[in-house]
Amino acid sequence: MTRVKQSNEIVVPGDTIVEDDDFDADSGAYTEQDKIKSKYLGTVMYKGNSVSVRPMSGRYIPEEGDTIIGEISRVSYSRWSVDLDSAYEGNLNIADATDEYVDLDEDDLTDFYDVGDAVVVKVKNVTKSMDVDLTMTDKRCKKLEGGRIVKVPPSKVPRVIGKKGTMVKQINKATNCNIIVGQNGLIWISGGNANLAARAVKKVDDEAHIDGLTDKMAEWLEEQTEGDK
Amino acid sequence: MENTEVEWVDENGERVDGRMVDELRETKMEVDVLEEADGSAMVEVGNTRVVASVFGPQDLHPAHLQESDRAVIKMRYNMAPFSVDDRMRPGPNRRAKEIGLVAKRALEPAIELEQFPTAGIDISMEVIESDGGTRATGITAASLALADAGIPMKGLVSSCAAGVVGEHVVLDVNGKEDKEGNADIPIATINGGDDITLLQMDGDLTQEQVEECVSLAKDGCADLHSQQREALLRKYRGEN
Repeated sequence: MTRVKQSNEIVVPGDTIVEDDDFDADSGAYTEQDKIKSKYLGTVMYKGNSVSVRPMSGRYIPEEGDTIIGEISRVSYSRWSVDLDSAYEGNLNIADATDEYVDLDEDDLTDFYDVGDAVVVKVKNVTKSMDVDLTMTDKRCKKLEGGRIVKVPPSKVPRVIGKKGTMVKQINKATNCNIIVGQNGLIWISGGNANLAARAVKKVDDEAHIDGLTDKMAEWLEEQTEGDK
Repeated sequence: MENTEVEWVDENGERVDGRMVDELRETKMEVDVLEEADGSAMVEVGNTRVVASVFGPQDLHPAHLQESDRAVIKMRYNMAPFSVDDRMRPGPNRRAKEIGLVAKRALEPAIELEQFPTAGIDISMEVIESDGGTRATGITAASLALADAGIPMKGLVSSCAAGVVGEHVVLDVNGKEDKEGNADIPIATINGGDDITLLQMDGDLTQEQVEECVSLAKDGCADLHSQQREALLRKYRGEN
């Protein structure tokens, strides 16, 4: 056991994490001559027998089954193109968007979604050449009306959600906002004290690497809401 | 000719700017200097100053440049009109094109391009002030910007030059040594190690001088690599 870097320690690309060991390199790490090294600027995570690096920044890469927030960027004859704030654009086909019967020559697709609309969509399929198919059939999927969207790096989404959703529930309770967190790092906030919720999300983003952040945020939120009264 | 007048290394072993033969210029590195870019960095080596930015991975246009199994890098090297002693005519030229190409080839081996099929990564190196060694400084800065942008890499790429002035082999040639010296060899290494991704030379050097230059420049790269690490870690701590 020669762990050069401990759990949660910060590494830069090329840093050795583990030396001659029987660990496996998971996401964000690679093996080179019996050594496991980092691919990213980020923090080390040990999980069972594998080592991974959680990157500090980087674009979202679509994965099947993710629920994400996107913006309609183009309306075509039978489908919509969706900007996912990623390296790749998503395609939403009409069959995946609605159960209604649509006559392509008669009906106007912009009645459903128009350019600029924000939508919650699910990734249905990603091909090898990174064509991304989206679907709205999931019950969480919908068009977002009003509210605002804030952005965090996709790698920090797990911290914003918290263990079993504790963090997002806590912010929701303190601010009375509706909050939807997309796996691509876009977060929709509506109603209630939206300013405070947005600031809270920003704070989680800035302090994502601190242990016991949920408790710290609870205190912070209490402080902030007291000031309002 | 030129070498008869200048004393490149004096009796104390000091060069024209007071450095030792194996000493780098004073180097400053800062990561995340631009708001809009996905990743950015500024590196100062003596009076040479370069800002590098990274956008992407993102949609690549025109589509015929796309590769179905990996990302494509678009590299830009540009000198600001005020970066040299006389005003420089702005816009691309033959030299900028060449440096953009060699810098791209120096960085490519370190980047995991196959993770982003069909996408493009835009890297730009903007020379604000030039005093020798701009391509090396640009590569060092671009590598930091890539790490800042969260692009997966095998390691950081560091780059510096070593050259021959008079009969002395010196590390990190400055503008004067570059212009009036015999020749210089810029090299780039991955992770400050033995993998060389860039090696250029123009001018007359003996085989021994070349070997000496390369080994000296490798040590310089290793030194720069530890400074790059520090700069990235500083960014992380700075956000505490």
